[in-house]
Amino acid sequence: MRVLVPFSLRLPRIVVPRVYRQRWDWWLAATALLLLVVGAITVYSATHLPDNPRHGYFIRHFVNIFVGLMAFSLCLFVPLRLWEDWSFALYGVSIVFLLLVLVAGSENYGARRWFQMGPVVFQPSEVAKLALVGSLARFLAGKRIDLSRPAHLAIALAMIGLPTLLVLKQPDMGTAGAFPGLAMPMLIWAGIPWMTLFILVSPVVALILVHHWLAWGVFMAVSTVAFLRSRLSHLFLGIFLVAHLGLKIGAEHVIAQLEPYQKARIESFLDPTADPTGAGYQGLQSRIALGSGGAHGKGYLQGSQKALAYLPMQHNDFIFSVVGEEWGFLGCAVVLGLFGALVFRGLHVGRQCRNPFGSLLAVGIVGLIFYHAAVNIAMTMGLFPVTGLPLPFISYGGTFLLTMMAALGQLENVAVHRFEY
Amino acid sequence: MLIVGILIGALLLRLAWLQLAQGAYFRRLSEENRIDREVLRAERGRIFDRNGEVLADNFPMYRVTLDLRDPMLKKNLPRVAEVVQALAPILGRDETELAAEVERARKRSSRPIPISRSLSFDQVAQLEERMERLPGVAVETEAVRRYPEGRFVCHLLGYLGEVSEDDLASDKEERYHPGDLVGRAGIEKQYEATLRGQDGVAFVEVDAYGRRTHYFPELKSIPAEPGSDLVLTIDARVQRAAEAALDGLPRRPARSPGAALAASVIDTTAPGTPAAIVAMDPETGEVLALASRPAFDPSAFLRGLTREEWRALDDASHPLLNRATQAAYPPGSTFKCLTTLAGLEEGIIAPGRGFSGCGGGYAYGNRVFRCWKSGGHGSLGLLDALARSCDVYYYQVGLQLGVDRIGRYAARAKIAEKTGIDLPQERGGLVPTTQWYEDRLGKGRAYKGAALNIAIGQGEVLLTPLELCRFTCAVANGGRILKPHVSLRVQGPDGTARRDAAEEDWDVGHLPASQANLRLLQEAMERVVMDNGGTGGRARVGAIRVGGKTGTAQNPHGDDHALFICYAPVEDPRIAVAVVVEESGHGGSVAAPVAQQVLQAYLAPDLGPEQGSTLSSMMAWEGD
Repeated sequence: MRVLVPFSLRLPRIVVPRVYRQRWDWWLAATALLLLVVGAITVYSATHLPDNPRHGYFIRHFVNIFVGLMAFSLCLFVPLRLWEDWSFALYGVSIVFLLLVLVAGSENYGARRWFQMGPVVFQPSEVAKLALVGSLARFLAGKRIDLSRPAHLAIALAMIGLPTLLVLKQPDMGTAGAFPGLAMPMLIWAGIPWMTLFILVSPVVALILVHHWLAWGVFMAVSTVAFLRSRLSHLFLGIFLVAHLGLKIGAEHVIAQLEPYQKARIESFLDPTADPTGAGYQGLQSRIALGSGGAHGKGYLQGSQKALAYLPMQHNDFIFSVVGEEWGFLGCAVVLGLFGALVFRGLHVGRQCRNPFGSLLAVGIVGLIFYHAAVNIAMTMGLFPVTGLPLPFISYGGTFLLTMMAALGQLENVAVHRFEY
Repeated sequence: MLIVGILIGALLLRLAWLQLAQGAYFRRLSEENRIDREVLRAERGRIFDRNGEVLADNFPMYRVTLDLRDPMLKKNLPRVAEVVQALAPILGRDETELAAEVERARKRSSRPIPISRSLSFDQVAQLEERMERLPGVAVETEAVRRYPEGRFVCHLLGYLGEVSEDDLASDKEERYHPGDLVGRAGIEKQYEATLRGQDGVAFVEVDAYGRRTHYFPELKSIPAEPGSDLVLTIDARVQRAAEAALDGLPRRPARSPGAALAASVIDTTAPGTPAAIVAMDPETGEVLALASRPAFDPSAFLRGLTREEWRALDDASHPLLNRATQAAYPPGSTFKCLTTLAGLEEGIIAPGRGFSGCGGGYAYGNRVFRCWKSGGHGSLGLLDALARSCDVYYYQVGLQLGVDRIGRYAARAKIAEKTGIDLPQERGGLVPTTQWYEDRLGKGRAYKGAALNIAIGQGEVLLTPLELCRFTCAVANGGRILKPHVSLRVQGPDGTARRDAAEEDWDVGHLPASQANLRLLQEAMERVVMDNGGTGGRARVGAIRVGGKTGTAQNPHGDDHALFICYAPVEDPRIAVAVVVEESGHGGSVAAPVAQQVLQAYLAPDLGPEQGSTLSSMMAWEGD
């Protein structure tokens, strides 16, 4: 006998286009979900002190995850065509906000990074990251764009440089680096000539090596060989070498004139919130926490290092050291593996995607996630200066999690539609 | 893909190095928490007078700290209580109070807790003897603020106090550490950031007993940056004369029992009649001397006051109040200078034009406004009216000017406006307007005769001694209104200048008066002091031409306040002085002699005290 259900009692069905079920990418969704679970568990532990349990952070972290899931769904269903059409406008708006925050933002440790409206914090640099991915993808996807032409390259570099400089002005070095960081894989994807990329990256490498004559010399020799093997004229090589010699001498001259405390303060000036005393104390404590975890860790909630002095950041920028202390090498390797899987799968999606915009978008998002993960983990391990970047999907912090979830939504969106033109 | 793979591989390698290869080493560091951060304290900048005399410097002293991380004390609260119990009598402190303090500090951070400072040798010896039984206790030296002459310049210098728990909680940049001293008043507060410098940090590895073994090699230490020195505009000679003159005033008996205790604590030598004096250079706005009474010894705050001592301070006549900048008084007849300028500018008075003569009072409305001289002055011209301070003359000027016209001139002369001096918590004065009365009393309720009272500086008019002095400067220098300042130079410990007041512009406006009218006022003020009939004769210094004005302000709470403003020499003004002495009588007899001593110290230091003021001792000066 059929049960008759009155029409009015029938639940409305949410109509999900069939393609979402057919092409749903479990690799992306599952790795991200696992990272979120690791994050929630670790945030609980990091804010849980034996004699002072603070559940507030944990509850707020769940609220943030929920809000993030809504952003994820939104970006999942908004057609990519719409993102493409509005990408330049979004880029323009985000630049305006980056300008505004420099004059009207809330000041914190001498840096202006966000707007505070009651309990809501709005950080324009987060929007700018997504805006740059979208607009650069749209620009590079143009049919006649050729990055070996200087004019096209200049436009692309200007698009990347503008938000980078504005965020550097805040100042926030770590976040500023995210723009070139996410753009580099996109430029490679779009076919930038390897020599051009090499020339662009070389000043950064040279500045890192500025203290070691030998390493610097080896780098210059390698560069010379690369130039000689390429089809560029010897004039370029000459200019390149002279410019680098000038850069090295200039940088050494500037550094030599600084007092030791000034050097430390400049490091903390580049990112004042990262280490208020400016001496790498947090970095050391982080390494102690990570290293003392050993192979299998001290056990969940058993970390002792987290109760120490760098407490304000341990559920945020230094959360990876809590993972390392409590779960050891095993736990860290799992987290790294999850990030690796997410990145490789993302690149795979980008390669399969038949729509050039979607393909570039996927690569940019992968770049964004990977930049943050790699720099953050390198920072907790003492391979990188303390810059104050959070770890995607794991760190506590609403705005950043929202950005990451929105980016993941777009990535899944690309994955679902990767066989459409 | 290859690049990503290499990067992830590199991270994994580093991870393996840290956790697998070096795991045991880090585990040891983590378990024993062997690395400690040691604060390298920046020395506070010194304070000098304009000639390089030291007003405040630093001196090594002993202090005692308690480190609860000591293995004997760690997680052993009864043992901590024993230590506190043993410490309290040696340090002369209340045991329960000390225990509460330790408990609060324990919750805040794990660093060594500062217990007491400025220990005597005797106390240090007692502690050293018992060191065996006092685990975690350490005696160390620190540089402590020293004020070589005790109470000298105390209100201007201010004092330091231990940083409070609230301050520490709101100090996000971690510039301060528990037990640090921070400026609480005066220059020490105003220039806290300049004087303080920046603490450095060193990393030390400590052994199981909390003793330093060596500096941690992996981290560079940051040396402390000492604070900048401050050279004040104060001239110690003038300041000394000013303070001596105030201390020489007749004593007023203490009115409350608390005052006696406060006096014994704070002001061991002289309770002092409440009074204030400011001396400025009329050309530059530099403050040459600034003093207030009763005074206090800033060193007393370094050791910290007990609750009773604080209460006693509240009870007494507020010795911490800087009466020169933070107290406003009715200016009395000194205000007639402004009334004169307004009257001249508005054409109400002129040198040749008189008003109805003074018979000792002036009838207006349903009451008689009295002149201070009950016998009356008779008919006077402008110059004599100011010189003899005839109230009836000024009642008539005020009546014709009206409340608002006086108010307008006062506003343009910025006489009641905060001067913006570089000292904290300056108070502004008040010259009421019709609007002011209506705001308080209701529409149309401005009382009749207000203008008469305002014209002679009574009624609601209130000015600080600093405002009076700045106005005197403007009259003396031809009308330039200056911003008073006490910081002459900020310089590095090696004497290189970092900021120089001489390079800045201190002009903030101009008196609303023509040069001709200003000269008339100057002439009248000179007669106040130099004429035999003038009220300010006791301010004469040898043959130097002095211009001034006396004031005797009625005080609803007690005796009259005595006031005096002056500047000298008239032909080339180098100093302007304002004096207020609370509840002590006439301006001419009480306040003018104080100013006289300051003028003499600055302009004629070679004259003996008797030579300087022969005239005043020969003649009995009468009048307000």
